[in-house]
Amino acid sequence: MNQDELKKLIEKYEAGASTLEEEQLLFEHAEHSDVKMAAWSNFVKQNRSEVPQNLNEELWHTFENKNARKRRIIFGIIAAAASILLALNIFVATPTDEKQSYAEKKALLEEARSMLAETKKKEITNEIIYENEFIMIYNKIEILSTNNNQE
Amino acid sequence: MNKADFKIQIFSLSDPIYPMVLRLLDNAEDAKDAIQEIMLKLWVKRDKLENHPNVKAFVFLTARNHCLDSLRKNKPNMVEADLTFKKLVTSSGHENLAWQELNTSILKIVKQLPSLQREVLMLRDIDGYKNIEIAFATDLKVEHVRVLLSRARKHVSKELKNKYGYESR
Repeated sequence: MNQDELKKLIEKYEAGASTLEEEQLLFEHAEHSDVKMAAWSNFVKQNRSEVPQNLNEELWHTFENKNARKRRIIFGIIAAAASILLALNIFVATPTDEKQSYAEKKALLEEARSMLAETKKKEITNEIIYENEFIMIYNKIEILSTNNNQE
Repeated sequence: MNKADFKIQIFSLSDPIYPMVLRLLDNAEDAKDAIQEIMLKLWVKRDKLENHPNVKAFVFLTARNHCLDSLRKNKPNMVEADLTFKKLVTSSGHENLAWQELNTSILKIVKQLPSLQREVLMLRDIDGYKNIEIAFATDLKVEHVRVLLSRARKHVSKELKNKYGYESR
């Protein structure tokens, strides 16, 4: 690249109209141009960084692992919550096993028997006191199994 | 958007955003971690991204904002001009004293630039992005990028000429 070409390229560069390829070429040949361009080119070359090889694949691998770990954690939390809910549900829904003692059973039986006694069918007998063709006078007697009531 | 589409359309942009992320964060491991975080953010938004008119622009912009937010969070007292120069500022461990002096002088000149001109210049000359990609990252129009770039280069050229112009070749 001769001096004229370099000068034109610098003008294009300063106008912001050069391509990346032209700029690369300019920085490579800057030592042969003016001092200011050489200084700037040196600064640029020293501070540029290269993209490491396989960066994308390396990052993707880590990204997938992180995502998988996150999914496992979420799944674990959901599973734990479901287990707790299930356990609670079983605990609430199962009727408590209330075993009665012998005394309680006996008391209940007695109560039932007394209720049965009160509702026992009354035996009704009519004792005729007077009777003719038109009229009949009688005495109604109700007899319970436990005690007798007379009306 | 399924995993395979995400890998092709979005994750493949990890390589192009790397130079910018590295320049801003000044550490290769931090840059990789940041790209992972950026990609996780984008993965969460993958359904919305499916209908985005310019996915590449969105990824570039998200990456740049993520880095700047991260820098502001870690170094709240850092001035704006230094945010885009972290890598360049801390590369003073160079063994060549002449280079160190040159680096420092040029940094001073570049820091004088308005923030957008400075950022556009760095994205183009240091990170090697096309104007369209710079427009994506800065949310500017391509023509505006070209104008800012031209102004920045002319300013640097003028200042360097003042400083080194007396030297003959």
